[in-house]
Amino acid sequence: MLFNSIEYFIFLPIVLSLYWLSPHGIQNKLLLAASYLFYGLWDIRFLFLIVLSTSVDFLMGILINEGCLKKEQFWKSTGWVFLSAFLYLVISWPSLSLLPSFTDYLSNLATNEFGWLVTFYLSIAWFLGAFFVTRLNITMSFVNKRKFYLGISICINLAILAFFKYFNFFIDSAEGVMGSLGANPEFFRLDIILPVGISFYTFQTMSYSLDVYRGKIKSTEHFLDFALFVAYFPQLVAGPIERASNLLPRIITPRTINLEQVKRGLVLIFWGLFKKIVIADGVAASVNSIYNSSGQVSAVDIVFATLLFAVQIYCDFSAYSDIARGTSKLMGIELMRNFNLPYFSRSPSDFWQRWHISLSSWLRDYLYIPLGGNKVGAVKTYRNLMITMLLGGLWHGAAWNYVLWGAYQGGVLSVYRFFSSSEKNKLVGSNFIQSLLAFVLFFSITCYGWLLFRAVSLEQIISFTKIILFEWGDLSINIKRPPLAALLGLPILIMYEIFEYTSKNVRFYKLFYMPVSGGLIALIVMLIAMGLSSESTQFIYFQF
Amino acid sequence: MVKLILWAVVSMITLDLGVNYLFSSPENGVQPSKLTRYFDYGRSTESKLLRIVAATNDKAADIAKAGWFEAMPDEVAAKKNPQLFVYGMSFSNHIGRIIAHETDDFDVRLFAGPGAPLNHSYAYYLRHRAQHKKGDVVVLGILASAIPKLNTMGGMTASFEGPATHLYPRYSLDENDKLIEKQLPIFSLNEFREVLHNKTQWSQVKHRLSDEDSFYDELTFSAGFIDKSTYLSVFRRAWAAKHKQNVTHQYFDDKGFKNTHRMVEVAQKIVSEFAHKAREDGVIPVIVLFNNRGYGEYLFSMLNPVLTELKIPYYSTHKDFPATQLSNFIPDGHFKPKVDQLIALDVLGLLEKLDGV
Repeated sequence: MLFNSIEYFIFLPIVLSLYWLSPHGIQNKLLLAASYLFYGLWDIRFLFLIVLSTSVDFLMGILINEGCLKKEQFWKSTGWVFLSAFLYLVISWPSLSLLPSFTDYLSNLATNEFGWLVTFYLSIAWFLGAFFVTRLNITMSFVNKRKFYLGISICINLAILAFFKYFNFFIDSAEGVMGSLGANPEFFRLDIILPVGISFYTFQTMSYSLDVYRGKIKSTEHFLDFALFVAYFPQLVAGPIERASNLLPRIITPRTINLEQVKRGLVLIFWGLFKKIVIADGVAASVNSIYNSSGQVSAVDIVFATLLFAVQIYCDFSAYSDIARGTSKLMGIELMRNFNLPYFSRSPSDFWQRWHISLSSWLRDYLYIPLGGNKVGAVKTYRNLMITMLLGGLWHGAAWNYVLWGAYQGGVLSVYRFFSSSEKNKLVGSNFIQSLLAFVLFFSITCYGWLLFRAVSLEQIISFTKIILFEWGDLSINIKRPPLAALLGLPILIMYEIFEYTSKNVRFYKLFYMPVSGGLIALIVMLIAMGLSSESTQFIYFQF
Repeated sequence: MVKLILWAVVSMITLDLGVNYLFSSPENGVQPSKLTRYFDYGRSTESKLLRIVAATNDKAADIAKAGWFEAMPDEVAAKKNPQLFVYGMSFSNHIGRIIAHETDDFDVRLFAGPGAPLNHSYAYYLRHRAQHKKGDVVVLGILASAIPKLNTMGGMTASFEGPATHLYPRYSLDENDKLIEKQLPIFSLNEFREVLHNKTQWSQVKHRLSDEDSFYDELTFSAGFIDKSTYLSVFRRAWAAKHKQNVTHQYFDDKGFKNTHRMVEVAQKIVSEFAHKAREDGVIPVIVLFNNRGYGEYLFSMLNPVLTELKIPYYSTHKDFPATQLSNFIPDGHFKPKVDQLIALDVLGLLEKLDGV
């Protein structure tokens, strides 16, 4: 279900109404059911993965914290895993088009061989695993146990991620390497569908195990609450990647919702819809017209398309985060801010404190700092930066251009660090002209990164780079013009961000006269209506 | 908050009325501003049809006059050079005109409809054949983006933003794989105007369209109170875009054309019937495939088996002018004039090599 779909605007009021009318105990169960429905409508089979990941991390969390497990806890998780395997894998759910006739729908229910097979192998792996863990548990010290269970949690999560996201990528890459050495192998390939949001929820559950291990939080004993932490629908498929220490307590304790939260939530949803429908979807066709073109394009086309892609990816992703945060506020649950005016950054490190904050802080806390961060000497600091950004790039997708993008970001951060390591050598000055120059320079550097990110192949990266560096003879413009709604919406977006940046107040719009605010709302509703005519595209970050 | 909502509502009403006043329906024969055209897009098909057909043919918009099947004038038959009849749409007209300009070897006649699909071109050809006006070489131009319109009965339903009035048959296959023709009984703009102003007849037309035209949608087609509001019209335009997308995706996806409602078979059958009939008459059939933007090589892939099997001379744009290459096209989706020129010369080269020409 997409945030910008009609289905979501039917789903959300129903969920909210039931949620507001329910007591806290029921609220969490309701949200969990809604979250599974939200995800299951995309592909019900992958709900099994979520439940598996939830159950493993729930058990490992307790084992890391306490070193042992109550039978009841084990059997409860086991029950959930096998119930979900039966419901989501074994049963072949017929198309919802049969739903109006409930008897037809039920008579079309069937089981499938693949589901039974997975359940069979799962039961062997699960119970053998439980047996060996029990045996090992007796012999290990508490410190070793904690490490061991953390290892299991991380290995299982990474294995799921590696299989679904990177299996064919590694096979292709291995074939490529062997092909370049003269061999011509044909490895086994699988027709794997990438489960939506797998990178997001996997990182979220891993942060839980890591935080329990580090003693930042205690493991939870409430399975359903933990399941809701993993599958909470507003941020399930594209973040923000929440930390257990932030989200879990909000789920476990009763919420209060105040009017200010509701107002801010509605503003965020409204603004998110504007950014997605009017701007991101509006400019998508223009960007595609250059990046999906097979023939020669001009330098001007590439520059325009890349600038528009910078706008598209920001509006697309930050819109998702805004709608997620807005929706969550309506339920009294605060999610972290994921974007903080990133294109106002004046340096690479500033950028990564403003762009996809939940991922960059995750990488900082669970990868960069454990590697030693910047406390291990200059060379190792650069190494740590490169490793962190390379893996950050790979997190985005199983393709070499993401790896290249990560390497580029690591390189930019390292070069910046090298030149600005002492106070005297600070690259960014404080007067207006210097600041403006820093904005422009760094925005250009960021945009080249977006070229690497958006390119469809390595050949395109090389060809586009050559054109923008050396081929300015052809000034023809072939790029598809963005639609009227996007052209009118862009100045509004820019003004909004400038106001927010200069006022340093996210609620700056409250200072407007009421008629001005009313007029702006009317105009934005009109633009959203106009923007709806553009072909709706899936949120870019769903594929990650 | 209540005050803010009230101000927003007042602003919306003001904006709605203001835009409606400033950008009212364009007049036929007067070039409207871009914004006037933009805000006209969301008005219903019916209201646009009422405007473009006007009271008489003199006052009607050009798009209302285009695409109707016209009888072949007699003087064409008296020409000395081989006669080249080109059936299709604007893409085929462009190359037909260039061929006429480049050579005196053919007497070129063009028969086209706005964005016309294969069923329009084939039916047009059949009308002339029935008149015994057959030509020496007949070119059937086929446009990739118009293939889903094989499931329409006229130019009104698939082009919400700029509907045309012309009608043509929808073909289907019976159990013996023979083509069946279904057409609305309206054959000229005059007849169309009469029916449009006759409530009973018009509702019968709408009823048939709703049954037999896959692109028909009541919300976008029928005039009503939505036409009075800018906001609602703009929302309707979005609805129409989604509706068109949904219907088109029934017939086309990123793998190519789909055989929904046996559309692929119908297209192949039309091409083979066209070739058989032309050859029966001693006429040389030629097919020109316009693989336009967004449609890759799918048109060629769909028709290649029948073209090869029946050895029909053809030219397809996909090799030299790929649909994925942006620089081949102008913003409205047509080929650039220099590309048209090259395509026309290639087609001319093909025609000159044909036996019997």
